[in-house]
Amino acid sequence: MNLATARRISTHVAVLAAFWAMASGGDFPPTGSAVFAVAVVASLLKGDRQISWLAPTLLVASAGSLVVLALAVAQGGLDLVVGAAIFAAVVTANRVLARKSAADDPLLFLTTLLMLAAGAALSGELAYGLGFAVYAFAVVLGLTFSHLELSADAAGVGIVRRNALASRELWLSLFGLAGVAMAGAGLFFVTFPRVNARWFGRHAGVGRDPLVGFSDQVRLGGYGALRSDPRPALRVTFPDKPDMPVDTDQRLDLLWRGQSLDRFDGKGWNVSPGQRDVGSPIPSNPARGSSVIHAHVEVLPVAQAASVFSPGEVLAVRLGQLDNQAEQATPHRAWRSAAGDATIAPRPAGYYAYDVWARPSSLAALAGKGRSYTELVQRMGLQLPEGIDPRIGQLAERWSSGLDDPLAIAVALRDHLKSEYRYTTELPGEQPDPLAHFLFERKEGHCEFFSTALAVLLRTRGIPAREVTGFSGGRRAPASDVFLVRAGDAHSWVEVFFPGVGWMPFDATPDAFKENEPSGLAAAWAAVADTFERSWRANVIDYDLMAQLRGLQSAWQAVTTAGERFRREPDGSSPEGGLPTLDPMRLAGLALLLIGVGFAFRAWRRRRNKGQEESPATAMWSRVELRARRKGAGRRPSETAREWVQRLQRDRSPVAAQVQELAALYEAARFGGIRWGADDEARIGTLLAAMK
Amino acid sequence: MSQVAVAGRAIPEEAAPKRSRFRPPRRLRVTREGWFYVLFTLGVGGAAVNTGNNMLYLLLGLQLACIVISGVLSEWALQGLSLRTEEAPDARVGEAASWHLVLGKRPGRIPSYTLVLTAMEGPARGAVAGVLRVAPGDSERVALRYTPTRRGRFTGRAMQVSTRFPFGLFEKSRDLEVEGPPQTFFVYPRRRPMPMPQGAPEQREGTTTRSEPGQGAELLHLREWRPEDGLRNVHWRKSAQAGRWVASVREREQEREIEVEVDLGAQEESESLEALELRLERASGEVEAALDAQRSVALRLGRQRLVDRGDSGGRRRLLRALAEAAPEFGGAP
Repeated sequence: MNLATARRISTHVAVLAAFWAMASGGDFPPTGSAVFAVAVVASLLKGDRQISWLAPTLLVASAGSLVVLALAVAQGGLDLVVGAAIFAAVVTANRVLARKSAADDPLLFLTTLLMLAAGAALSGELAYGLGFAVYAFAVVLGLTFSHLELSADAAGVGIVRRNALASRELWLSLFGLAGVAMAGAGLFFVTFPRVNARWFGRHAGVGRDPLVGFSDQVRLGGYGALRSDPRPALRVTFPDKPDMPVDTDQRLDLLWRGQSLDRFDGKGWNVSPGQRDVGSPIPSNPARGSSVIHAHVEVLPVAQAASVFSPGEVLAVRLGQLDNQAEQATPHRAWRSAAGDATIAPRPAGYYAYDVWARPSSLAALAGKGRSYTELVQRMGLQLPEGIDPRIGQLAERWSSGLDDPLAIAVALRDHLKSEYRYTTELPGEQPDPLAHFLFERKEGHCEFFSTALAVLLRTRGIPAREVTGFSGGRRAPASDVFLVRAGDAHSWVEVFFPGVGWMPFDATPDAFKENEPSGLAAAWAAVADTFERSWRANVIDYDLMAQLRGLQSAWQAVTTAGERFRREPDGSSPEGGLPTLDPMRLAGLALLLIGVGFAFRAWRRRRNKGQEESPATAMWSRVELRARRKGAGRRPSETAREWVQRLQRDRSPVAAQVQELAALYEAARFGGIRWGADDEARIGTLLAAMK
Repeated sequence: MSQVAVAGRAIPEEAAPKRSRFRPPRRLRVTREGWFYVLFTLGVGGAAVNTGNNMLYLLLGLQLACIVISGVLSEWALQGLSLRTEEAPDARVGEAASWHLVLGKRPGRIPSYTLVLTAMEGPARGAVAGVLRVAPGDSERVALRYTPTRRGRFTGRAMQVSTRFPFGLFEKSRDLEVEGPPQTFFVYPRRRPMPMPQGAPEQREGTTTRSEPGQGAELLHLREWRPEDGLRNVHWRKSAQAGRWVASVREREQEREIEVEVDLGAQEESESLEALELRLERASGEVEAALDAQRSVALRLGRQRLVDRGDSGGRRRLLRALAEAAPEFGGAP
């Protein structure tokens, strides 16, 4: 493969890999992907040819797209990060189409870096990592080939020596170099201090607001794609019970309650004034009891919360670490709000951790609790928006006809919703009455539609209910006791009030909202893919300052432990459990042996590599033989170059004259020690071209 | 760069570059693409620190790794290099010349790629030549092409070798001296085509003989005949007298020398010095025209007189003398 082809291939692979990394998050419009693919294919077909009208046309197209994208972002029709990603793709498509020579490649690579940066803000998926890895290899190769070609142009190096440069040795060296670049990237990634400075703009990268699931308020029909958001929101361990029961998918069957919302305005939920006010402090002494769950929870910045996420009724909370040193000076504490939600005040700015002792809820013994609600509970749990669709009340009547007990009504309504309605993450778009649209027309939606429907249906039956947001489940990280709850696990459900007991959870969302379990070969593949994905999540996405500190701590511990084990006791014996001590003579002998092996290996490699480097003459001759073979006039293994030429002349082969001249040039360079001049190389190029 | 004056004061010449003792062993320059790259890396770093997005940290890691790799590989490319040279050919003001060097790489494992040699001294100062690849234990011949702007005799061996390998984002360079003693470069005055010198016939016409063997008419001496003398040179009468073959050796016939004289007197004014340069260029043209016409030339430079003896180095000797000629201040302009 010649230098120009090697450069073209690696450049296009880098462009495609960067685009893949950017578009893998799913936010990039499919039309844009198709246009980009067409641009890359067109660029491959065009090669380095110059088309006079192309550059100005592309410039106008790029400027036009910038204006359109800016307008779309300004009007709120397009997310800023998605707009930036589209523009990066437009600029890259422009560069890849307009390129004329290797001199255009450095700027093309810069635009691909723009796409990667945009992809970093759009996606944290494993697919991004795969695209990134391919890109790292391709960009190292492409940049180096481009640089070599530019230097060859500048030095006026002929075609033969130029092509001889793109040898197998160079390819292998560059692959090794790319591997080193990847390792270096990994090293920087691990050691670069993790800071989340939040000087301005978006935090934590991905440009999606958590409009579905956990948030301060809920808007039905809003946009969002949280189910696929892989970033960890909570990291949970169970110190008293590391082997928490999980399903076959290593998933916990728990709801991590965050906060409640009591006011429904017909389109969404929010909180009545005063409900968030700090009430009573939550004790920090560990609670005891067989049913009590003790969880250590780390809340990662992606959750953007101040809640104490708990797998049941909060009994005690002991605050742990905050990632902001300045914040640690202020006295944070866990409080119960007026609405009964457990929260931390003052609100932490980023990461925080705590131990929580909670009692899981149980529906047993809820029957027959009656309907004697306090005024506060009625205010919190029975409010309905004005002008509510009368069909909703009628539906509640129909589904719970003949029932009077609140528990029986709640269970009946929940079961109807679970069984007769379908879960989907597809959004219906803006609707004038999203709840009525869900209940009577669409009959499918995500968790917020189900929880809203259950709460409103219960309220129409005079039973206090409210919306609750938090997270569902959590999966065990590979080979560890840590459970990761992802941002995509955000969930909402309903709490129903029972006199003498309190607010109890009811989840009306069909179980389909949990991922379907694959089976057979698909299951095996899903397990493998999931292992990679979890590993990616645990080691890359989830890698933060705490992980860095832990790594540093364990490294230091390993060093000190090793030091202890090698340290000899004053009497010459090794400490208990330590490694056996070696006397100095043996140690010196071992060192000498290792040095000897090293030298022997080096000598072997030198012998092996001797003479392997392909000279320009040899490379040229290989091409002569290859082209002659393609013409059916290949050299026989037993023939010398001279004999081969004589045979070709005898046979009146069409390539005889070229081979004769090339053989003379080859022998002069290979055995006569003569270096080819520019004229010779030009002549060789002409002769080789004539043999095509 | 140093310069040697033959007589009087030194020929005006461009100032030599000052070599600071604090000159770092390696110099680094960021290319245009490199600046874009560095700025983009800073941008990604700022975004990563601002958002805490690990994908941005990963990208930042790759970019920083590429910068480090670039530094290491360019260092390897610049290490283990040596420069040898053949004698620098004499050059002429205003005409392209080549200085051939041999760039070697010590045996090892890693080749050097995309090297650029730049002359730092001598008339070739600023001239560059590129080498695409030097294999370990091998060498490459490099032609440094330059066009001198001033006549004179120069010495110099300081070179700079630089590389942008592997990515073309940074250019690292180091000093490299040509092995052996400093090279001497002679730059002749500008070529000014002149007609064959005309002048006093008593000075420039007629022939004379010299006491050297040749093909003239006069007999120089007799000696024993040798087969390569041929029958034409047999001195028949003496052979008959001596009873053995005797050959006659005739004197060399030579035309009268053409004498070219240059007044080196000048004042310390630019016009006067320019006039001297013009005289030297004319004299150079006359010397060359005479030599091209197979005539002997005597060159008088101030008090110095040089004669072309018809040997192979005659032309070079005269032209080098013109190259080195220094003004004699205080004399007639």
